Amino acid sequence: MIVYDHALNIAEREAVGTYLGGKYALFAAPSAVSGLSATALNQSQVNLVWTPSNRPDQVVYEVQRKTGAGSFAKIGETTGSGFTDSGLNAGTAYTCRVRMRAMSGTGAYSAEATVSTLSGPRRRYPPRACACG
Amino acid sequence: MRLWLTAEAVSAADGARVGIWPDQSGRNNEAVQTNMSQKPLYVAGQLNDRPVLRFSHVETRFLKLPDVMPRLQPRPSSS
Repeated sequence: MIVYDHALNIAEREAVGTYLGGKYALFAAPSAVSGLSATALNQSQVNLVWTPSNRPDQVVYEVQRKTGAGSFAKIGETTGSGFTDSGLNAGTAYTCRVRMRAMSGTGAYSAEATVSTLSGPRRRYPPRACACG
Repeated sequence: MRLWLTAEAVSAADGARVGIWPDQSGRNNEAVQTNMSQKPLYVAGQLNDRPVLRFSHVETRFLKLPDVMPRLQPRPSSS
């Protein structure tokens, strides 16, 4: 039993949980995140959802993305089972994956999900030369 | 840290009753029980091969803790 004189932040909780979880083998290591799906919301946003684990030792989900043949890079963390990726380019394909960080360790990455943001606004008519005046 | 109780800090034989659970936080907030019949049991190799202290509500086995979170004293008036 450990009592602190302040509310622990996420990093402190993870440090304590990792220490206790490893020492006493309280939980098995997490498995890969399942059920990842990606949906384009508009030209610059993609929504990711996955199956929640409901593990008591869950700390956070790490979300990564890449474009084309590039390398994956972490774009954010969340404690929920969904994530909205913003600031993307229109009409571009993005591949995402998610893994769980738990007090008992870090799980494998999920299967990858690829989605394309919506294309840019289509011109309704070509510009015409002004013959005013 | 105000309190850190771990059974590994207890020196006892398997099945022995424990009257003092030393505090590892450095604040000397050890948990104590002077009544022999109410002392918890030291059980070896229970949690990942590590010892535990076994309490019992039915048998009223417990330890008493000091106030590990004493309230801050009010600031003296500036007037």
